[in-house]
Amino acid sequence: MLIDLVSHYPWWIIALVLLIAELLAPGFFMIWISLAAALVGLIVLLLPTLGLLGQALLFVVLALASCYGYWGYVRPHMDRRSDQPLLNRRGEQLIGQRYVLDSAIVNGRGKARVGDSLWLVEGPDLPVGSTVEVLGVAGTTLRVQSSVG
Amino acid sequence: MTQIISLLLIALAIVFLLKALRVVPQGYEWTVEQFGRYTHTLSPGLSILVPIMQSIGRKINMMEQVLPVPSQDVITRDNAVVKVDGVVFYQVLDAAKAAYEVSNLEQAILALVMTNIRTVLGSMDLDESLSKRDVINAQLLRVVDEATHPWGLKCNRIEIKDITPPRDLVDAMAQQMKAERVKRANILEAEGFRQAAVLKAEGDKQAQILSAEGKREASFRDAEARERLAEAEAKATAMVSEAIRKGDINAINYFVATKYIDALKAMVGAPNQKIMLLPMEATGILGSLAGIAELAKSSIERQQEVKVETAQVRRPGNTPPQA
Repeated sequence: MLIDLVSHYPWWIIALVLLIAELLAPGFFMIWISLAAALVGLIVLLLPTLGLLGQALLFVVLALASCYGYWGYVRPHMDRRSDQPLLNRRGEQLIGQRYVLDSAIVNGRGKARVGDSLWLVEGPDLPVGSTVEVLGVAGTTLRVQSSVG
Repeated sequence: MTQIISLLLIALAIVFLLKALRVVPQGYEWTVEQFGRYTHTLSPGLSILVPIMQSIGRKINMMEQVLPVPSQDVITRDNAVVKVDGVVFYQVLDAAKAAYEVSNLEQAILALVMTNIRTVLGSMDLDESLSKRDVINAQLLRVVDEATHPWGLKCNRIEIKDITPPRDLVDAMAQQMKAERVKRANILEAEGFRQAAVLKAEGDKQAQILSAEGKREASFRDAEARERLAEAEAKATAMVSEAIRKGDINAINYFVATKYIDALKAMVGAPNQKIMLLPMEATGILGSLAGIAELAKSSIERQQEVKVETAQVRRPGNTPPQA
């Protein structure tokens, strides 16, 4: 039964199964492991004398190398920047915008009207109705400074 | 043996890599726990973990979510029981807080919203609650947004969907509205009748005024006509008397006599006349006849005088006869 395993076929099978799994199950990252299995299959095809343990070690090394290689080298170079980097980041979308204080900033905390809701703001003490500029965001609180104009 | 080890090695490599490389889909953030303790949050995209040590804790949805608020019975300030439901729109801004600060996020939000709906509606009358949805929504949003801040949430909207009073109350409201409209219709109708009556009376008044004015004008003109007639008669009389003054009284007598005789002729010629009326002084007729005779005589005399005058004018150089 295990005799069959000492050939290049199981690697192709593993490669294809992983590829199918990659296509079916998003959220996992199997294409590189599948690529490593295919590479092992190719090596075994060229060097049929390689033992199963050798093949296994080769596979482990190749799989780790392919994944971490992609992670560390390929991805930073080919990573396409998102054209919507602030997607799902409601707070960050407000940075640089100006809003009017709905309640005065007292002891560094107040509220600003953004759209039709209110956001907590942190910044220098300011009276109601003054305009503030959003510098940054921490969770559900906006860091603001007084904005003249 | 080596074969089994080899197979396990292969399996381990696959499982290890599957655990190490995680792809977080857009719209989610996953928390990472190191030996059960939260360390950091994974953003969308590919991430590498250290298997065994690190694991994925919670997968938090960072998209804005709609949470339906189930229908509940609420008592208003004027003791009407109404069924109220709604929706909450919220978004997680801080995945770690949403994951660990509150144990059952949705349930917590729902509990907050439902209790606050009771609070807000309990301080309003039924009519107010039906007409001031925006006020209710704003008040709910303020309270709930404030309360959910520690959980890393932002409540963007809370909307009351339906406020349903009980059947009999709805019927009563409909009845009230109907009565209101019927009342308005009746008032309008009465108003119409009143206006019509007023207009009719106005018309009658105008007609009477016009007819009175017509009569007045007519009598004015009648009077004027009589006046003119009298003036004419006076003038005629004056002319006649002038003529009399200049001429002979017998000329008048002639006219009177002819009229007298004409009247007499009419009396006599009247049909079916059994009784003949005569003026008391029938002799007056004879007198008038005598007047005519007198007239004739005087006119003849005058003619003769004229002839004599013309004869004298025809003989120039003749001295007038000595008297």
